Amino acid sequence: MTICSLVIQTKPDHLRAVNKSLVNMDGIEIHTQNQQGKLAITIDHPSREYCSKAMTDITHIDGVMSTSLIFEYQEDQDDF
Amino acid sequence: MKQSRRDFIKSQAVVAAATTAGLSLSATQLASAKGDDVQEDIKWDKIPCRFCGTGCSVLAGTREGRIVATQGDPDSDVNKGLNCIKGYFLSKIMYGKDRLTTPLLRKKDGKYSKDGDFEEVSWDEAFDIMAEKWKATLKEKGPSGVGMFGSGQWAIWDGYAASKFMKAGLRSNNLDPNARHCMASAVGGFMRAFGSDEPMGSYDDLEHADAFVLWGANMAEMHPILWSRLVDTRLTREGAEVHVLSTYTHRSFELADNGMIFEPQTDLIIANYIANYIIQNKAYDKQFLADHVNIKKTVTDIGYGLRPEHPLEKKAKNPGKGKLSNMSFDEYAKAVSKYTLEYSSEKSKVPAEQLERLAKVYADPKKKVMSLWTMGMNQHTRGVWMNGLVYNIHLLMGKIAEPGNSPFSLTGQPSACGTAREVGTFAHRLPADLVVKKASHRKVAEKIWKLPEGTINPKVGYHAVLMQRMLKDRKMNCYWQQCNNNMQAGPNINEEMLPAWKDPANFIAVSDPYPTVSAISADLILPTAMWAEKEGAFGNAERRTQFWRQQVKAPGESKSDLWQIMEFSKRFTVEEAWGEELVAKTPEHKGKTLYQVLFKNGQVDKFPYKSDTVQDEEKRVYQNDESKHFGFYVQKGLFEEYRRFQTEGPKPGHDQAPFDTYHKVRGLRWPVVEGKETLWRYREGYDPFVKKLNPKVKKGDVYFYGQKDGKANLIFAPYEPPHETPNEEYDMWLCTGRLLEHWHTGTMTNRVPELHRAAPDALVYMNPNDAKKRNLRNGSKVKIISPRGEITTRVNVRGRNKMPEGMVFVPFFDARRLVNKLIIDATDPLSKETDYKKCVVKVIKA
Repeated sequence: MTICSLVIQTKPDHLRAVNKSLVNMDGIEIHTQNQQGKLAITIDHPSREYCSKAMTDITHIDGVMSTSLIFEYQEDQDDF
Repeated sequence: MKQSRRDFIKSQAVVAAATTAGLSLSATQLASAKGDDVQEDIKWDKIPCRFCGTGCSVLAGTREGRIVATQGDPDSDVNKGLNCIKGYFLSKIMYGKDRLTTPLLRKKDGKYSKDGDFEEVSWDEAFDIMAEKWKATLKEKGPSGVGMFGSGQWAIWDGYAASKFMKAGLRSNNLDPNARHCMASAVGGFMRAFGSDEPMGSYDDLEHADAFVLWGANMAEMHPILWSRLVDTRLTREGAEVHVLSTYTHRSFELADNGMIFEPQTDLIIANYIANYIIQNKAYDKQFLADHVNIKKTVTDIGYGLRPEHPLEKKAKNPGKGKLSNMSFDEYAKAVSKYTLEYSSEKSKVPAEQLERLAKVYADPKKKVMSLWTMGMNQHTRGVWMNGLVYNIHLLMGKIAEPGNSPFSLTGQPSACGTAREVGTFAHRLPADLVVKKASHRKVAEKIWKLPEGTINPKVGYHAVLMQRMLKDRKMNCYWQQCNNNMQAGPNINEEMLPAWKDPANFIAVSDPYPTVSAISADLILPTAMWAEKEGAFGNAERRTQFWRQQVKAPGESKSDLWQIMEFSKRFTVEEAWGEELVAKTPEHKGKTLYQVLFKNGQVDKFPYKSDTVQDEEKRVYQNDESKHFGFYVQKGLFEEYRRFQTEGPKPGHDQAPFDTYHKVRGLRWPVVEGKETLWRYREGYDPFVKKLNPKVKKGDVYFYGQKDGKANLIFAPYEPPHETPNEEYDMWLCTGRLLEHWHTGTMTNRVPELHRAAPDALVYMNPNDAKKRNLRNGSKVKIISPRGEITTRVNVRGRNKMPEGMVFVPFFDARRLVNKLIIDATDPLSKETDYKKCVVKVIKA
């Protein structure tokens, strides 16, 4: 089980486009956002690798200015 | 109905994110985070992040002796609940499969042998052979025959103990930190201009500035949390703007209102042009200059820090010289008048209107400007000059030492400031800005350390690059490296470091938690406890000192760097280390070990450690493996002794709070006076030392008390050409640096399997036209060749770093492609910091 939450700052005029990109990604939920371009999301996915890659991918979405991790929890450690 | 653990954890994650961002949630979302029936047995505690110099505070969640979760610390002023995505890997860096758990020595037929294979040995056997080698070298060559290379990732007391062990114990100043590779030019700039190291401002400037200028820093990827604060200001403050200067296009350009790509080395021209613009337009602050600034010029034609026999050094008129002489304002104005807009635009290749736009921002008295820089300016053969040229601009305008007006040098390592710089781990330094070459400074150190007069060696030791040259030349034979991976980070290893380490005359010990390139190139590997496995302290880029408790135990036999230094000191008697003559001056030291004199000296060991654990005010219990081993509260004793340098030394304004305070707070920015931290130094009303040292100061005025007359130095330095320029054979520039996902040489981040898989290889980022010219495509296999070595990798023409024609970028995290083989060991002649941002290479199809 891997759960993490992030705050994403987009350029305000890119907010809709970023929303669109995010909802197309697996395991991502948008929980709340504001007009200034800030979003709070979670990534919930069985694969740690997926979560890690998703974070990098989000950072590279056009219009995303910063991606910050707030919380991460990882239960399975057998793949070390 | 009970909610599942997953839902509970998730709702906690959501609430934390929304709260941090100031976003609202529905009542249901809030309520679901409150179910305490599924409370986990996770113990949460604050700890500063292990990666960059920002100094974010993290809440680490430990369960069954292992860190399983992390959260951005909402109580931290630095990161206000945020972490960057590297934080995702923080809880995993200690758990790599190949973690070292026992000392390893090269042996053949049961004995140490340079060409032997690594075998597991006990700590006793490890230190026996190491002490034998060190003592033999001390006898034959004296203190200059041994050396230690430490780190800006050391905890404060690791560095302090190393400094004391080398400088007081072995009387050798051959101690240098890897911060030499990243921050030394910034230190040089500070000392020359202000007489005191580290920034006058703080991160609070990020919320007060109208304009931000990045002079060679990719903050979006390297300092993401500070970047997010800058982004916030840019998007919410009316008229705020961002200017980015770099030699290639990177992620920070996406927010840039004025993004400028300049030809390498011409930042010297751009900075002088801005000064010229300010003077030509009479925008400078006359009163500020008259009251607070001395104008100086620096000696020129100073070489490139190469070996003295190198043709470039022979050609230089004043190699390594940094002497300053006075200059009138008119002389200065004349000196910069050459840097016209036309000339500067032509040389730098930045369009004139963009340069002018930048100059106007600085010259506008109403705009508050924060200048930010890191390695682009520091890893530069004129890095000290360049730091100074940016201070010149701020001093001309009086835009300094107040909220939002802030020349700000960022750091790359978590304790480059707190450890490498503040406790004196540089070859020329002692704690709290003191230096070994000044008798009055040595005297203070000898008094505090209770040493006989004349113990501390007045000769500046070997710096990072010189150490490797001296090993190669057999002037130094014993070398101990802790907490860094110099074989992957240091320059020109084919010609210097690698043959030096492989020479049977030399004995190389490396302390590391993982089998890095350095470790496997050594003769002895000492397994090291990592960050959360010990009680520690870091000092970040804004002078903030942060403490943490030991969270978990180190695996196997691994021990902290501090334990290793103190334990090794038991192997030397003062007679062996100092010689009879010095011991005769203080007969009470006779027959004692260095451990007894330096650590168990009635001073460092004065805080008891009785119960096998430490307890905080809330009665929470923590392990402290060093204190348990040595029988006293080691960290507290060392820190309290170190604090005396701040108040008893001749350099004012470095005061830190008592040890116990730091465990209760989220760090404090020094100077800390009567429990209060300082956000802006040198200005009355913010910095208590201003009034104390200059009682007649006007309200709100500045006083640069690091300099004797209270005035800062504006130092003119001209453009001088780089050490190498692309030529017919080697026709491209090479620049190296970091990527977002990996930190430095990847010792920690490459241990996280998913991260390693995501970015396994260092690629060469290249302009599509340059690729085309060489018949290369995205993904083509290539050789990158410099006069010093070659590596093989693949081309990336569409990556996040967009290169201009004529320049390539290769990151340095990949142990299988040692890009540092290609780098020339040219340094800033003053700071001795290597230029990692420009050397010549060619790229051919492999």
